[in-house]
Amino acid sequence: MLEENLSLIGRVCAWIGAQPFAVEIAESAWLFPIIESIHVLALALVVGSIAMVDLRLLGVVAVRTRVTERINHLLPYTWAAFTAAVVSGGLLFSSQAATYCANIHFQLKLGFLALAGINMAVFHLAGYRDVAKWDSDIKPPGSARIAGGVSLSLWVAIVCFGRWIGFD
Amino acid sequence: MLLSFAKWLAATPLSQTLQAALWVVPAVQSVHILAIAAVMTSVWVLTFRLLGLSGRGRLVSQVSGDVAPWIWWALGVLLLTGIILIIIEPSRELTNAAFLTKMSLIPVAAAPTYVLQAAVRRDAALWDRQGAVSLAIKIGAVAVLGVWIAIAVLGRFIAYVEYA
Repeated sequence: MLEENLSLIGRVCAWIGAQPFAVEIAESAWLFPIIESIHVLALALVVGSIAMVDLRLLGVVAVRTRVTERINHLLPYTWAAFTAAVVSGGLLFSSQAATYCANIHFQLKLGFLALAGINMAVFHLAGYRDVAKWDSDIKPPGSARIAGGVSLSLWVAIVCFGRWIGFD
Repeated sequence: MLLSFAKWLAATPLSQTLQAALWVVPAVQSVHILAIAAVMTSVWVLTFRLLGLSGRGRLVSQVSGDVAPWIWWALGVLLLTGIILIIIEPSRELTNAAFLTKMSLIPVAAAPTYVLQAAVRRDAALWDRQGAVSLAIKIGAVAVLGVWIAIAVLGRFIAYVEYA
């Protein structure tokens, strides 16, 4: 069963890598660095905006700004940039799909991205629902501080794993 | 001259020690990227506030004061981590056109960013008035954002440009 799944992933990777755009990126001298630059700019906005929210949840920065005010201001940047990061990252991936699939740091990065998504979903469905009660608190309640701390740690790890891919 | 300095630096015991520890470069680059995230997000958020594209519920002076410490602390981290990366691979940076262009652009972006923040801090009430941000300021802000973006892109291109 496991082997069948692995060979399925291998076949999907081979198929992605054979797409014309993937071949083009792999063979061009400048497409990869250009797309990579877009990926860096996008991830900078994703991680920057998320960290600014996380540190407010932790009660470290902007403690006099309401939590909802900060989130409403910064979340559109997160989502717009995340979309750009996924598209540019997908294109980078396609150029060497099989190699990245087998790369441990790439795998860890995807796994931690999933954990960051779960952490955010849990926070939105649970701890964030009664934000009206603690919106102006300098130090938000424990559940919000944990969500912020977990998010910040995961995103720092995601950046590190992402950078490490280039050194494998 | 830069090349001979680079060669001398690469031969120093400090550089040799750091070169031997293979995890140092990716680790320091990761911290460098996190600091880039702080600067880019701050500049982007401030520019879009000046343009009235986001954060309109917040005052210009609030947004400016909010992002200012992020920019200057992060630039400090970028300088420090950048110096470490130069010590490890001096010729990769010091004889690299992308690196040298990037460095020359940093004051071009940082100076107007500082001047703007100082002006907003000095006279917050003026900047917080409706329609206080003139078209000239908006165009300038977009240009400065463009220079910050160019700096980040050139930084990534250091890895792809040939060096001595």
